[in-house]
Amino acid sequence: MSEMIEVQGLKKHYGPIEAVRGIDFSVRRGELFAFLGQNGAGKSTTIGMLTTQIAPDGGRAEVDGCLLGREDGAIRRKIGVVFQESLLDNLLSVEENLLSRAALYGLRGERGREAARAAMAAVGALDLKDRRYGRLSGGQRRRADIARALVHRPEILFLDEPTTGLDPQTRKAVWETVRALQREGGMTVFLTTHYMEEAAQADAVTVIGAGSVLEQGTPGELKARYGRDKLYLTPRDAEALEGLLRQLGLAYTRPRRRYHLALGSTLEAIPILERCRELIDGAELIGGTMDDVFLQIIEGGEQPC
Amino acid sequence: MLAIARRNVKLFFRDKGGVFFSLMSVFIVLGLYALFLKSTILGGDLKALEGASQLVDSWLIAGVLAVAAVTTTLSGYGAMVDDRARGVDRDFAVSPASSGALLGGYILSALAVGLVLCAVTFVAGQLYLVAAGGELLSPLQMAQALGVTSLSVATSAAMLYFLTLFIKTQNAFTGACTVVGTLVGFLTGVYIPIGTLPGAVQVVVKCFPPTHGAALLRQIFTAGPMETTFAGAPAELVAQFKEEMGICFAWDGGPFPAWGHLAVLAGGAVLFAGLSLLVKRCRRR
Repeated sequence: MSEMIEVQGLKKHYGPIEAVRGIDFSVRRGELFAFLGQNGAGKSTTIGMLTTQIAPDGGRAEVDGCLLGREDGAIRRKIGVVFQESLLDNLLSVEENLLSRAALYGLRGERGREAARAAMAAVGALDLKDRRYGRLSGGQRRRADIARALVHRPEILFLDEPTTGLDPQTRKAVWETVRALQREGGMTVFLTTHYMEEAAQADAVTVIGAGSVLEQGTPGELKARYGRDKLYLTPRDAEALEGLLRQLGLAYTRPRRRYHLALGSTLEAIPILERCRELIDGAELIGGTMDDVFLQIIEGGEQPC
Repeated sequence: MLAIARRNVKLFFRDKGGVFFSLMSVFIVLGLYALFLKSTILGGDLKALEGASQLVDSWLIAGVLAVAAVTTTLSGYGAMVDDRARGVDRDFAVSPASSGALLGGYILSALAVGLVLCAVTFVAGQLYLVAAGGELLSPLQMAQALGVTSLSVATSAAMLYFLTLFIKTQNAFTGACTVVGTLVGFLTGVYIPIGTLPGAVQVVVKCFPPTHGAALLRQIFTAGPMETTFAGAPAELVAQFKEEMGICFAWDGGPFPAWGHLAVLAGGAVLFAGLSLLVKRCRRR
């Protein structure tokens, strides 16, 4: 079986607020899966459900063949979770922290020490062994957090916005650690992020917004689908411009004052601009980037027509 | 469960300031006593009697121990409240450790913190009594005192667990520690002898299980000094003094029996453990 996670129609509401409205997606074994969405899109709720913290209201999910809600104990042995916040104990050393958490998985004594050592080695944090967690820098803490998630050798690692709040250099280092775990250690990695540049490096991306899956695919596929160049026209004579665009057979959207046109390539803009010249005050030509892809997906209004 | 308890205890004792403040109510009682409570209690005819000062000292140390059993046990729940407030409980929830084992770990650590700090208080109290011209308890009395203290700690652990069910933040916990620390001093009759309280208040105070722990401890601690101070005094006077000072509670024409005190303590533990379970079950629904 190559699917590590299978999700079908997963739902969760808090009172009248539907946090997650029946989402479907799957994560393949050994891949780096990025779950992308704005704040409040339902990322954390979804991760909460998949990691057995929040009971779903509907739908089903399997983690490595174990059914969520029925085999939670087995799922908990297979998953490692890095939370958005640092949740280890400030007053204990990194090793003491890892030993206390290893004990939660029945790893005590020599086995616990071995597990803690291996986890620290995996994230290159052996030198932090005797340092108090509370005195570590942000990046060191994150590495200790990841070591905590690895202490029982999980099959899949969940990271909820692992790089949020870190400086760019540290962010890169943390990202590389995660990447190495996946590439060299064969770990399946499920991470949420709102950094497009990170999602662009994933094997698969699922974008959610307002509790629903908006789009999924590889970064390349999404770029091909959404990352088109755009031409924004600021009208002088809106009515005439609309007439002309219709006459030219060009599809457009008008989310705000400006007319948005999707182009196959930047060069297509030249003839259009020449025809519209008298009817516009200005124009802006934008090349497609991954950030655009994200923005286009979440701001449904700017989707290409 | 043991590993979790060990972590919690370690966290508690690593925080030196926290340890100090968990003994704060003990220091406050001692301070007030040194300043004026002692002279107030000794104010009447009592002062003239032989060994009255040692008697009141012994009475006080017993009360301090009863107070410590409550306040130190409460501070032992600090790790649990902190975990809840910081969301560390989520880190435990994603592990296969059962919630029962986690809860057991928290309760065990509260018991351990309570017992260790009460033992320290007990030793310090004994040293103080000797230094103030009194005598050490006999080995049997020591065993009895430690036994009663342990039971008080256990009862407190159950009562205070119930209290912590309603505490979600670190601020609320600090507040609860202050209130409990103050209230316990009154309820166990340390600040004001129980006998001087109005009748209705006395009833309330006697419904509070740790007060029974305090009474038992006072019986143990004052047994020796009483014999010196009240040598040859009429039994009626002795009984009246004991009742006034909260050493014995009047019950059905005689003193409330020791097994009764123990039963109230044990019953309190069972009652609050049951209430806690009930609240937890209702919340899950």
